[in-house]
Amino acid sequence: MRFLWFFLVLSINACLLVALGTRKFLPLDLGSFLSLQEGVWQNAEHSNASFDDNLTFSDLNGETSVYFDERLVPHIFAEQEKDAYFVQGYLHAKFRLWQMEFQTHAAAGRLSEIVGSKAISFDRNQRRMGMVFSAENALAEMEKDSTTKTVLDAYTAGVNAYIETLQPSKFPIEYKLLGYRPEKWNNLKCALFIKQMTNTLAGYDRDFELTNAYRLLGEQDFRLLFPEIPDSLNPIIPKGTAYPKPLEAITAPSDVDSSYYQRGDVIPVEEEFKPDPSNGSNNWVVAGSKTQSGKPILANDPHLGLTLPSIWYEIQINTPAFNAYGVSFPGLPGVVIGFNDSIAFGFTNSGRDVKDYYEIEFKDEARKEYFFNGEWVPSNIRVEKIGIKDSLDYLDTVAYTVFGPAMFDNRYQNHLTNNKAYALRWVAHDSSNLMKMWILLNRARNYDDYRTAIGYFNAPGQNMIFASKSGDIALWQQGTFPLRWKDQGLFVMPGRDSSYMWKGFIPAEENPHSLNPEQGFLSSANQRPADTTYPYFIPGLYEVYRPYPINRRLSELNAISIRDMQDLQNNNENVFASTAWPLLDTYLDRTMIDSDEKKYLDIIQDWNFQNEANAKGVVCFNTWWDSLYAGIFYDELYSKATPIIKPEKFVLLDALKRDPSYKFIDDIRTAELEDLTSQVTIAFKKAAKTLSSLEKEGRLTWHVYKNTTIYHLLKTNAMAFAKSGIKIGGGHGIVNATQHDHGPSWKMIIELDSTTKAVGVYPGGQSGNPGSKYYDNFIDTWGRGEYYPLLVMQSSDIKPGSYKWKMIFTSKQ
Amino acid sequence: MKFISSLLVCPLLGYALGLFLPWWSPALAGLAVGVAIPQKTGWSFLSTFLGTLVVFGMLIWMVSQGNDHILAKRISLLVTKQENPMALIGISAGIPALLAGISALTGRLFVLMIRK
Repeated sequence: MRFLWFFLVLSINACLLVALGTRKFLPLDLGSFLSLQEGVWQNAEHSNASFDDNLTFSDLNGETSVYFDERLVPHIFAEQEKDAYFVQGYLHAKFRLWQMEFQTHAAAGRLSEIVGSKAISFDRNQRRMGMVFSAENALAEMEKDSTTKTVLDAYTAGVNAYIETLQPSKFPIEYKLLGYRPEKWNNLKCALFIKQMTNTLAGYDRDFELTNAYRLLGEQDFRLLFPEIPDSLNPIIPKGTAYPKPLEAITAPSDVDSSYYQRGDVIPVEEEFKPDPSNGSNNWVVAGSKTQSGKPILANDPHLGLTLPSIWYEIQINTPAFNAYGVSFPGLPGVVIGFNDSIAFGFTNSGRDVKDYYEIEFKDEARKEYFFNGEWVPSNIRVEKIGIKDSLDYLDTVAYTVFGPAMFDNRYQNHLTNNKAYALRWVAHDSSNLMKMWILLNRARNYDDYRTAIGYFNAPGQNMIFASKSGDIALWQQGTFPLRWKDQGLFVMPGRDSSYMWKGFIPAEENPHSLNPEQGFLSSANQRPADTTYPYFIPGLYEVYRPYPINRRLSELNAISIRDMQDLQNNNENVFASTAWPLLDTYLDRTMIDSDEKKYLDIIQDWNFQNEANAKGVVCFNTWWDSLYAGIFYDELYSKATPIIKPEKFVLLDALKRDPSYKFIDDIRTAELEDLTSQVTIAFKKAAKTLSSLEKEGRLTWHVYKNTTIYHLLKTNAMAFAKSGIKIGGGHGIVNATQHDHGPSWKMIIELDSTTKAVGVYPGGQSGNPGSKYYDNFIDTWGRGEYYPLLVMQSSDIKPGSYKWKMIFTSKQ
Repeated sequence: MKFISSLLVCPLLGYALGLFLPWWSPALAGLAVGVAIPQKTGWSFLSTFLGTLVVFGMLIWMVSQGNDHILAKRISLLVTKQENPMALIGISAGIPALLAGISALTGRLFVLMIRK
């Protein structure tokens, strides 16, 4: 009997150990995960934790002191410049290691290694897009430059110095949650990070969708639905600016009518992963002539997916060569957006199309040869080995052509037949010493230095704004932009010969730009950079309405202060709604509206067109407009076997303002002929039903409806690490661009007075540890539209009491 | 006396072993106590279970309290789908306690089995 009892209890014990020590029976290995000594409790940072430390490393050449302020922002004071980058790498790793590695794994198409086979399609997409190829090309170019290589090597050494001292019990929580461990950092990961940002900002394209739309709709309807330039264009470089005759001219191939503009079969390519087209930003700069202090003010707020840990890490780097402050990307050395003792700099996305597809014909299934310039030429085969957690590796063979990787072939998209494939030509694949731009910007002293610095940057094309203490203000749209004949690259191009290849790039000096304009300010908000007089064809995805309040306020204001600029960054004016309202008001047949519906109309009539957090008018208006949009477009566009990509919002508004009998107004699914009055009225009545449901759910108020949420990088898999329900206004097309999970990821305003004054905030915290009070402590301030004064420390300021913690890094002799 | 000894020794040994060994060190401590301290099997389980539960529970609570329960709130939401730091502390201490208790029982039954 005792034997029986013993073996019974022993079996229970063994089962318990297996159940708690593996993920076979429970989603987590709870024994380890909740262990006091090795589990998540080790990540519970004491609320009074000290960050004081003394560290020695053989890679250092001198002493570096890091002073942390009360927001845990490090102020690095390095005797040697190289050491500053080492320490920055160390600090990025100490506070953001998991994020850095996860983002670069994602860039490299390695998520399956962490989360298993569910990420294979994502990983294949990344590999086939040539993300690693692109990072390798960039790194080769960056490492040719001794300065860039030194900076990258020092940064990488710093990251690895931290990883090497990290005990498994102190691994960031996400490693424990997902059950893996960090690997060593390398310079390629820095390049991968840049390429991930390039994809975020210059990876959105509509070539397949527009090709199919053109083939299905024909020339006339296509131009009506996808116009190149909106009526309400408010370009970066003011309308009427004279552009010199172009240095480069280019003409379309002679067979363009038969080979390019063709009706016919749609292309059955399905793109599963696309960057958010809302990725963008605002930036502006005001000359001293318009400010209270008489000194320039620069403002920038990049709009990205809002995540925890935040994409940004605030930092000051002081070396004998420069003293820069701003935000950095964990994963890259230097200050990315910020200022130094002489200048300030910021960015918005250009939105320009720098990504085209070419139709390729392979000789056979093996894809070792493709037809080009009248003969079969060999392709370069790259075998992508995708590691999968708890499974065998997945091998994906990608054929590289003269254009770039044949991203879509029948191994990836089985609808493709006849050995057809689509090769990607993308500026991001071209080698470039991108990192050098930030290295030089951090130490730039004047306009000329800024010009030299930005010359190193090829993609993603950015509107690079600049101000200096000497009084200059400037904006250059910088990047490598292909020289295109009209319509080139709008559609998928024939890849059978070189005639449709890019023939060069727009000369950099002809990129839209302005220096010290008479109006005393410059701004950009992702709109088209120039009007039709700009002598090059520049397709892209551009914002239409957001620039309006910015340019109007900057034009109206004088004696501008930092406070005025804060108000402008928080501006909630809905230009689209105020432009559309007169049209809706005119065409709504009020005799058809009953009293229950009327209350929603009253809400809109009483609304001040401000997307404030508590506004109800914005929800009512948006619902009505969406209903009208669907009523007018969906019958024509969604009745076909292949749905046509939605025209942009401005297209319908511009069209209806121009022509109340717009061709698409009639609902072709009904026997009656609908006019604008009936469509506006039907749309309102449908919207009222939706609004009634929303009201019952308590979701008629904008901030409740929008539910601004800052997700953890693991998205809905880690809602415990997210913050939702942030009460904030704004929205798409609004200067305060805060949407559900997207918006101003860093808000910064710099006044370049003799002593620089700066404020900033981002929706996150300096620590990436969900067990730290510094994980999300900036969010409430950000949500209220408030800012922190940025403490720009000078060596002379440093004394006990001027900082909260101090880390000293010294050289190990 | 034996009850008190095992009540105290088991968690302390479990914690000490945990400085060098993985998360299952309380099981090893329980096994050692079960073998070394002769008690009725039920008492052997109860003393090691309770001792580990209280001591580990206290230690975890102190960590969580110092952290203003920031982490416990988040992890409890992740593990139990409710924001309940005390439940998480209970589970976190309950696991080593259960391991220690069952292992002590295993050890005790082993001794009784080989004596026969």
